[in-house]
Amino acid sequence: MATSRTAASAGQPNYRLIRYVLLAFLVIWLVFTLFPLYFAVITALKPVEEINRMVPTFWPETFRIDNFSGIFADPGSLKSLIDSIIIASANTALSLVLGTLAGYALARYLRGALGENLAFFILSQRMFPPVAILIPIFFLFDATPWGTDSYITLILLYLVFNMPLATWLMMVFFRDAPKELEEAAYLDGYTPLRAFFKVTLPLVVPGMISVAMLCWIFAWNEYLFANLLTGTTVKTFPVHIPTFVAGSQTLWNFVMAFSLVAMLPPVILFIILRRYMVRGLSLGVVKG
Amino acid sequence: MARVTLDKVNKIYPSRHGDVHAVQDLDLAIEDGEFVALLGPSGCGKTSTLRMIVGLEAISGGVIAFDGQPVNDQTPEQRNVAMAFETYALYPTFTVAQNLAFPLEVKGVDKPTRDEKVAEVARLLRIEPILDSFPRQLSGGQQQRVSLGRALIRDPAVFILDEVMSHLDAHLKFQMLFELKRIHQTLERTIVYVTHDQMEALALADRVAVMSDAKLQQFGDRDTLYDRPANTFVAGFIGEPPTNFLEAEVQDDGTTMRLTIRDASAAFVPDGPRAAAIRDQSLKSVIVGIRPQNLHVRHDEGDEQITATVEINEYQGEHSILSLRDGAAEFRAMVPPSVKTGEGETIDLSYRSRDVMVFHPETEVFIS
Amino acid sequence: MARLVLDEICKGWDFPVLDRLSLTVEEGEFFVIVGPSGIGKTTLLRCVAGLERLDAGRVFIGDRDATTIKPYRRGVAMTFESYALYPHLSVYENIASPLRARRLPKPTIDRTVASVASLLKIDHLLDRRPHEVSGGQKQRTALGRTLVAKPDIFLLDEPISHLDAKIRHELRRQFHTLEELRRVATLYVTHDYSEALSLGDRIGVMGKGGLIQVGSPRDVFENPADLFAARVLGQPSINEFQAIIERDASGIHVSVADGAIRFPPAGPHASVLGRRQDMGISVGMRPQHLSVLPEGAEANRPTVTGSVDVYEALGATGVLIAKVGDQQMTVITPPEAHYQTGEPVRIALDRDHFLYFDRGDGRNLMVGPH
Repeated sequence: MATSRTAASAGQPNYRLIRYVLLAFLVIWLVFTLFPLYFAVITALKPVEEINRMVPTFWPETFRIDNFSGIFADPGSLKSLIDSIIIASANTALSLVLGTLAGYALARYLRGALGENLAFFILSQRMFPPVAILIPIFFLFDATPWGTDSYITLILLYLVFNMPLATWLMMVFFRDAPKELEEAAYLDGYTPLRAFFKVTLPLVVPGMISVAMLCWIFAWNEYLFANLLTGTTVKTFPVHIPTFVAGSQTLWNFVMAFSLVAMLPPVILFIILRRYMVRGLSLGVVKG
Repeated sequence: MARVTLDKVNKIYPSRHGDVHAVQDLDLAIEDGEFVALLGPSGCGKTSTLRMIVGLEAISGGVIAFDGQPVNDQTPEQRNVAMAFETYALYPTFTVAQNLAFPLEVKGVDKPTRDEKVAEVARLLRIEPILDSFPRQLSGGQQQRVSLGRALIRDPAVFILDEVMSHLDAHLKFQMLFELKRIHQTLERTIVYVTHDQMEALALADRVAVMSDAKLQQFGDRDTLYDRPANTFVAGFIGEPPTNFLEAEVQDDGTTMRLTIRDASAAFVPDGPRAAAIRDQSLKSVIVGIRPQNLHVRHDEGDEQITATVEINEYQGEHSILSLRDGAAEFRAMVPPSVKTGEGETIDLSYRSRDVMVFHPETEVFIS
Repeated sequence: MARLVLDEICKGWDFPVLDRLSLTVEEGEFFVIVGPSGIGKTTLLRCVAGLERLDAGRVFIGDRDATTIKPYRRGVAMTFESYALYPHLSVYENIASPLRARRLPKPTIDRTVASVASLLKIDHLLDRRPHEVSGGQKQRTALGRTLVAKPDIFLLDEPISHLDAKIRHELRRQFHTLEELRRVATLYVTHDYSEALSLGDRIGVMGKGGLIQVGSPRDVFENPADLFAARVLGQPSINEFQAIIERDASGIHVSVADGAIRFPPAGPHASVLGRRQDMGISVGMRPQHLSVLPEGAEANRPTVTGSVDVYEALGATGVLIAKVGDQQMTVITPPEAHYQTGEPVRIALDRDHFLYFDRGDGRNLMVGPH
């Protein structure tokens, strides 16, 4: 007995060592992601002169809290945030409604090879390199009555990217929602439409919240198309950031302060919705 | 092989709403080579107990020892415990043979030895023809065997089976019961078997530990549990259909004692020793327990009799179950299928006075 | 209130599951379908409910041809094996669901739910969510949801198979006594034969493609149409032996395994077997029709001798597998007895109850034209 036990432990890998190695990787990763954020924060708090020194300081010698109020001296700053909120929210709402309905259709009515292929085709839209369609998109929207420089342009355009993702994810969530519950609802006397709203939809609410978050963040951060298509009547915050320039000098303190302010809305949203979102993302894994 | 002893073992899960005491002062001594079943309803603490024996769960208090050596601080590998799960947990991309060989491969056993062991286990479990199949090609029973095989192949000191048959349908389950019994007879290995199904536990185990509410209620062989259950819980949990419990008043003239069922006309006569015990404790009322199998239509010499009205006569093929009523009292009897007494008719039933179980009215403890 | 008529219904995917199945369940009848898992019992219920489209055949509910009627207009209620309770709704809301579907006024809903809940003894759980109640309570909630619907047809899919013995017996009793269930046509499927025998006014044994046999529980158990039906009913399963009919001066004998088991069949059986041309048959012996004789006991029946292979003491009985020649014989033993492996045993054959089957198609030789 005793011998076999020793033999077994000799052949055992050292679990503690493996744990430390894995933890070390986590630490490296954290440094890698947190350092830029840290640098953004200290930059936002420094005066311009300190930023422009050849040897950077890792802690501000003088704190300039007024950088944050300074950015709003430009009325365009606030407006760009509002524009971004309008576009991101409207786009998210549309993506969610269309993605949910399309995802449901895919999950329930198009199972089998046709459904699989169609679903993959839809997702593949998301993999298309956006730059390839930049110019055609410009001419396309230029030909519309509202032109390129309008809310509706970006709201519709971002659907091209968010819809495939929303549809695909919602399809996955609907597939995980047991079909039997819907059938039970039919037998209770609910028509398919009522059964959908009363029974199926509540089951995928966590999923919808996750999808909404992803869509919102994409629309919030998008720069390439916003920069090319809009900029005068409508100007989202990523397009606004490069305007913090004085002559030939970039006002890094304002750029960083404004970036931090622009980070707030998604972070706040995430904190509020985190509980639901994590549940949604793990729905398919934990089940069964 | 190993003797497994649990000494005042406790498991406490801290939670926001106060601690949950999942296992309370559990004492259990499992002999080397013994087949023991942990039986109880869901949430009784049997799974926590099992996980502590395996080493998947820290022990909150008490000592678990293998062959007298405490194993509290040892990992499952060090304890050399193998476990088969309710879900078969087979690796889908491996063949049956690869699944079986996997625990050995992890240990670094060389290929010829692995092949030899796989062949040996396959022979024991009678799964030789399916060694090259993939798990998805197998039936539930076959998957279960492979899962057992994968636990067996490690040559464990203790072999633990967690609800391994709850997914199988009745006919298959019956076959597997005999199969498992045969395997145990061949291997003579210490086996701890966890189940909520009393039939499985009684059929397989040398001794059964009945748990409820985090505590061990009784530990004994089938005859003990069946004829001398520690309390009403054990009496009600062991046996199907479940034992009839009836509240009764004690009527005693010093020579004969009658236990008259409350709000009914029937009275049961306990045997001598029990009557004496009831007198000793000078009880005014008791709970009478009588198993449906022990109420007969055939009348043997010396049997006592009661009369009741049939409410439902459930034909079951091998036997029938009568749901009976007498006044406010409801109980069941198991009778031969030839009994055709129908709804509303009265029937005379016999019982042996030694089959009348008596429990204390408050503590519900068995009075022997 | 209506009866259910299935007229040659067919349903299949890559292979036929239901092949021209016909069945009539009368109003007020409790009809139980029993069969091994995976044989298509649930498919049958789903076809009746309208959740599956039939490949052929028709479904009548009362005088109404319901074949193409959508499930939400069929007037059929069904419990699912998985219970299919809505996880985001309370027990109350689950039970109220069919009433809300009909947009009934709230006081009516409250009243109906309260009465059904108290009938099923779940009235104290109405505010809980399904994941906060036990299996038996979930089952009762699911049952409550079908009861309030007051349907024309009840469909119950393995409603109590997964529950503890105690709750199972309690719910069985409820199935016997619930007026609501006993008034309308009920189709109940299970793999548990004792449930089927116990609950069914009539039962149907389901095999590949459809119903093998329909009849009263007693009739089906005692006179199974074929070997398959004999196997489905009974636990432990019926003993099956390949046998040969031997004729000699003393009459006819049934012989198994070169005479290791050899006995003259009971009178009525002997006359049928005696007329048979094909000497090869299968003989079926239910374990309860075999008994171990105590040592030295006189037997008024034929006996065989063997040795104990495995013995398991169950609660109410014991089950013994004996080796007789090269055959295995399962025997039910009384609760007091105990046996050791290898011990010799003498087994008495209660041949009056033996069953004889054709070796080819498995049909019961004592049933139908001889």
